Amino acid sequence: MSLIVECKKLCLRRCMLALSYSIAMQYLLLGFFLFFVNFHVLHPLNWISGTISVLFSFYTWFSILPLIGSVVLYTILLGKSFLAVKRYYPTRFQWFIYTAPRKALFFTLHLLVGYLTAWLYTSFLHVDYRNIVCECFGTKCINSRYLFLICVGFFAACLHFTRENLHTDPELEFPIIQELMLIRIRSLIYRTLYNSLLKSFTPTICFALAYWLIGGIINRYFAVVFALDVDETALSFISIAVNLRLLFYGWILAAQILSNMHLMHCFFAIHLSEEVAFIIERKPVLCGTGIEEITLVDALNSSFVPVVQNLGARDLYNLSSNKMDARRKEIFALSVPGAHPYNWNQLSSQCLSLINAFTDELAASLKKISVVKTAPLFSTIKPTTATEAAEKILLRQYNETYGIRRMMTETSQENTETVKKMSPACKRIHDQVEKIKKQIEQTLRAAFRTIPGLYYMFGEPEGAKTAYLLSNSETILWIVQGLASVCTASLTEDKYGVVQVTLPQVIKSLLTLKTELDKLNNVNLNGKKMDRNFIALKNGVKRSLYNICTVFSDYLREIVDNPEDLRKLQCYVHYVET
Amino acid sequence: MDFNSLLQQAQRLTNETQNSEELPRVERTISQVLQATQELHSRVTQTGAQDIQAHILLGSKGIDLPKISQKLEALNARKTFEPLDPIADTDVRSFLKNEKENAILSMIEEVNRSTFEAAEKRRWECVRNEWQQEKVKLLNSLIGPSQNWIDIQKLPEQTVLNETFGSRSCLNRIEMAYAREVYEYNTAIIKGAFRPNLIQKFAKVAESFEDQKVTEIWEIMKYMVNIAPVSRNRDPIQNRTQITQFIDQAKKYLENRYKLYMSTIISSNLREAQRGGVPSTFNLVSSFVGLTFNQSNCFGLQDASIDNKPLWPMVYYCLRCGDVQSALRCMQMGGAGHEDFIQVLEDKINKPEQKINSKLEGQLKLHYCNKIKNSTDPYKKAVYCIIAGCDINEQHLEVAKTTDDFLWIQLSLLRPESHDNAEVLTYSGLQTMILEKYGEKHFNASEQRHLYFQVLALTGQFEAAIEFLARTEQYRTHAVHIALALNEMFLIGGPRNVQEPLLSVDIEDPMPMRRLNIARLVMLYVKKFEVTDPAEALQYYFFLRNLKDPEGRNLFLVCVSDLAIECRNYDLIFGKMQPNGIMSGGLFEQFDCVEFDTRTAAGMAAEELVNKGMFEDAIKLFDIASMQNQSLRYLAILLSQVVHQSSKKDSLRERLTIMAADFRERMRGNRIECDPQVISTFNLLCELVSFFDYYHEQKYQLALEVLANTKLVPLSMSELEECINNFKRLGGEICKVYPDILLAAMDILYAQYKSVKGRDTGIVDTGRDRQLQHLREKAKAITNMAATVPYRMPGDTNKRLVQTEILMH
Repeated sequence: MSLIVECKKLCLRRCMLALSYSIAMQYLLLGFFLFFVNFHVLHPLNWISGTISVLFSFYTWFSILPLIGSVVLYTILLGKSFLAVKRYYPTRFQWFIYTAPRKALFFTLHLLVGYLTAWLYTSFLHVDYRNIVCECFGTKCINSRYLFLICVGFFAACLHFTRENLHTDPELEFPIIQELMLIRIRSLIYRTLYNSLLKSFTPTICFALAYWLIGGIINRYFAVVFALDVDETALSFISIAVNLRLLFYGWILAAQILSNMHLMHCFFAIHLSEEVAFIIERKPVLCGTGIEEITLVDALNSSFVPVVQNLGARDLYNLSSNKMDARRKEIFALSVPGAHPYNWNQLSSQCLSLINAFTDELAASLKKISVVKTAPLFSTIKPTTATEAAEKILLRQYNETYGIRRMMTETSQENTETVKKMSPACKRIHDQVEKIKKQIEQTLRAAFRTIPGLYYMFGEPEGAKTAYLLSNSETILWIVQGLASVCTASLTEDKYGVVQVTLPQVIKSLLTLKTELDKLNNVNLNGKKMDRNFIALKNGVKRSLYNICTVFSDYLREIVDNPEDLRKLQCYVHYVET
Repeated sequence: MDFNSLLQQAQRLTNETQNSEELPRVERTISQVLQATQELHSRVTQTGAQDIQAHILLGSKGIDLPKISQKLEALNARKTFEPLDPIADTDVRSFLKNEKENAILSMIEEVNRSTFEAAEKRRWECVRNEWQQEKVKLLNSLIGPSQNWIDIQKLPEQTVLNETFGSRSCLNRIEMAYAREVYEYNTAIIKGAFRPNLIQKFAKVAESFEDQKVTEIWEIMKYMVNIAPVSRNRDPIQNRTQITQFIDQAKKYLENRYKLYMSTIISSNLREAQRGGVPSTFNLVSSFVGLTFNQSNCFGLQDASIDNKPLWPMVYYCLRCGDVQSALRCMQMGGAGHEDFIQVLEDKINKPEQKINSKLEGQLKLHYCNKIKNSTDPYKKAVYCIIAGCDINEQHLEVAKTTDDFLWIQLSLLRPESHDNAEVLTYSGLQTMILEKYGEKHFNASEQRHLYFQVLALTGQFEAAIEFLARTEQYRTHAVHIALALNEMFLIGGPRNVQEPLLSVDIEDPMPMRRLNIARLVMLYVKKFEVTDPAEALQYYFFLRNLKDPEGRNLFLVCVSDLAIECRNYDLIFGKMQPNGIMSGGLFEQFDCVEFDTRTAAGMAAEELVNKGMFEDAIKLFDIASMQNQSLRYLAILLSQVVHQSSKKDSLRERLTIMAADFRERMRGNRIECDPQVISTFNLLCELVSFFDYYHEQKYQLALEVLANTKLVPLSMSELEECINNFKRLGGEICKVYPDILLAAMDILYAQYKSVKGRDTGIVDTGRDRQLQHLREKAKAITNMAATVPYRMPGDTNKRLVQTEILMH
């Protein structure tokens, strides 16, 4: 129990950090925006001083609060979806049912953030763009420019949602090279600000066109609501196209909103994926500091908090590949009272259980793929005894003697024998019924596939489960490689020979996984010929096996008993396995 | 009382006696009577009581004994066969005649003697055979739980649906698990699928029993059968003496076990062992030696040391793990002085198939005898012995602490038989040592059963091992299945005759080899549950399909027919004949093949039943075996015994009647290949059944009509001739009941007569008289028939017929 709490605590700390970064980001972006919009070529000093004074004025601090509030809500939801345990949805319908409420909420929050950003930013703009009401020809009418900008806010939020969050859930990405967090954040901000300007340009133009088409309707609607007039002049194509300032504001605003959301997303990703060096052995309770620490094994075991598990796997990978890691010595060390290889046993059994569970799941999912499915070599083993077969015979004799016809069809051999013995008339009727039944079944199946949408919504695509498993195989990939590296390091570092006891099991597990993966070689998953995750995992496993075989090539005979496995491993030793 | 009255009384008595014709009149005076009595008495006292008895007995049958004895006395063979008197040499004619007669006589004498001897011999053979069979029966019954033998008597009628199998099964959990594998295996075999490895399957099942010893036993078997497939055409025993793979496999098992043992020792002392990360045998041995030998107990060990570890223990343990390469490495690290030894090791590694250079070996042996034999280092001695194969009588007690060690050293010492040197341990020598020299007592086999089994199995004595294991209840199941699996791989040597005891010695085999009678083993095992689980029993018997019983029949079929007779569940085993004449297959159907099918098996069982006199069951089985001719024959025989009885519920007669009705029904539909004589007899008997049914139900008119149809009994004088002719064509079965038919017919007539006469109205009725006349006529025809039929009727039949006829006048 405490372990879960500890893991959650770890995540929570990181989420809080990400949240504070996000909040700070709001000020930064606002300042950035103000610098942009208050630009004066002729009065650079005024420009800077004016911007700064606005930025630090009480009004700004006060008016930004609603936005920050919405950002907090947004990040909470974001954090939750980062930490969530991933589920597999066999059909699209199920996916829709389970994720729709959360997505709807998230979408609302997107809109809120978009609107509040637009609302905040417009208040710092030129007076023509600041209010919903404006003077036109002496009367008060709806300010279509203001509405344009507000709509840009909504539009940008929608754009981000559809691009990033509609189909996919937020996912952690671990960088290939671990950098300092500040450097990562800095490069992230530069990149984002720059990219978002580029990315939002075309959508803004498109939006402007759309606004010319439907802007009138919106204007008129709000005019009715607020009992105001409509400024028709501002709605013409020319007026929008010529009003460069409006377009510029819209573009900047859209870029701001997009980058804001993207940054929030990335802050979470960066913070959560920051690597941790877990401890190997918990200190004895007596000299503990009172805080329970998470060990590497605990981390690997925490499947209920996938982020921590990921971090653990990553840490295992790192610790095994670092040339000088003192923690590896700890793994191979013996426990102080008792002299048992407690650490290694824990670690290896945890890793092996994860790998084996994955292999089993993969094998189970593969059985459903028609390409992989092969006719069973031996007939399926019936758990029957001779006596049970005898009972059937007795029942059949009884039925035949008293002329009771069999109403059930079985696929067993006995059944086919009795069918053979039926009188011709019976047989004909029986065949007819069978035929009709088969036809009905076929029609139903065909209907299920041909009626558009039905199969799309309710059918489980072939290989979906396999693709799902592979897409979440990163943890396994690291564990496999990490474990293999630890094993190879044991040759020189393991003083007590603790690893070689488990080594056969490790090899066996890896070989099994490799065998399962090899079955997938020519299978289309999700329409793609080659799945990226699949290639990564397969190569990872192969690399690990090569690693082990190269190091232990001289001793394989003594480690592995099974001649079949040995033959496979020899391929690795001779570098002929592909 | 005066004399007058006395005279009158006597007169009256004589008159009375005169009237009664039964007693002959006495015409003798008292004195005459006395004389006669005395004469009789003297005769009795003369010849003795027994003679009198014999006379009386034979006399009653009309044989005059004195006459016969006189005749017999007249016959005297002695004189005929006596050697003739010698005759003078000159009498050529008589001499020749004499010689001829002598020759004839001696010939007769000789034939007489040889006949007597042959008869004697046959008698003894017969007696011996009987005793043998009795012995077999006794032995078989001694081992199985005795209750099963006693209450096998089941009710003949069984309702199928109420049978609940699982609960009654005699098989326990372990036996059931094995039986399931057996069933699957047989199914695969019958389908002609790839033959699964039965040892592997059983071993897998055995793991689920969670019995360490059993798992170990199966592990050994897995190692021992892991050899190249053996030829099926050669005798397994012959095969075994020539294949060295068994030795290698046994060594491999012991070596791997030792490795495991070392690893266990090391993992409980990890810190001291300092094993290191390299998973090689050398490292393993090194740390093991490091653990076991420290400074204090290194006393006596010789030569250099490797990394502070004594050399010879290192070499020994490397060899003990089966790693010659590591041993060589040790030697090379151990420094100079052992070049010959290193050379031998190198030869062993590079040319494992070849024999070691005898010169080198000789040198090693010499070295051993000169120096090492008296050295203080037991490991050095052991290593030299193992490599050079010298000093086979040395026990190496300091090195070989367990039976495993001992066995391994012995196996390592084995050399193929050579003529030049007598001092070698051969495979058969080792086997003899284990089985006969040491024997069960030495290994304390009664306590440590699995250990003795292990020793036997690892020395390739599977037969003895299995027999030993089968002796106790605890391991019998496993032993039986080991035997089955090995037998399927052609690794068990069977006796020439399936009636041999469980373990036997064949004189042609090399010395300690035994032969296991797998048929007996299986039958003993199956006996326990065959009545409750016939389906499983069949599966086990299927393993005996390649064996023949002494009469040359397929043992599988013999067992099946015995099983069928034992449990009498013919429907289940052979199937059931449906009313439409189509067979509904039974358990045996799955085994149908070219050699045998349900029909042959059912036929065999039927013959057996006939021999036992259980005709009723035989009828069914003959039917299944498509031998309807026999079926009908035995049905007729049985029917003829009971046809005249009145029908009672559940009686034999009723069952037979139903059976007969079924047959008739089927015969109406399709033709049955049969002898017409049998069919007509059967049909006639069926008619008679209904006749007697009517007779017992007192439906006389109907009965008479049926009888008239059969044309058996004449109901008028005119039919007499025809009926007699008919009778001559009848089979024995009908003839047997003929008296009963006649009696019943007469009875009917009399009853009718009485009832007609009973309607006495007082008026003269010509119709009634004619009727009575008619009935009398019929009765007369019957009595005439009885008198004329060429069949000897029981004595009272004729009398009763006549009496009844008389009553009708």
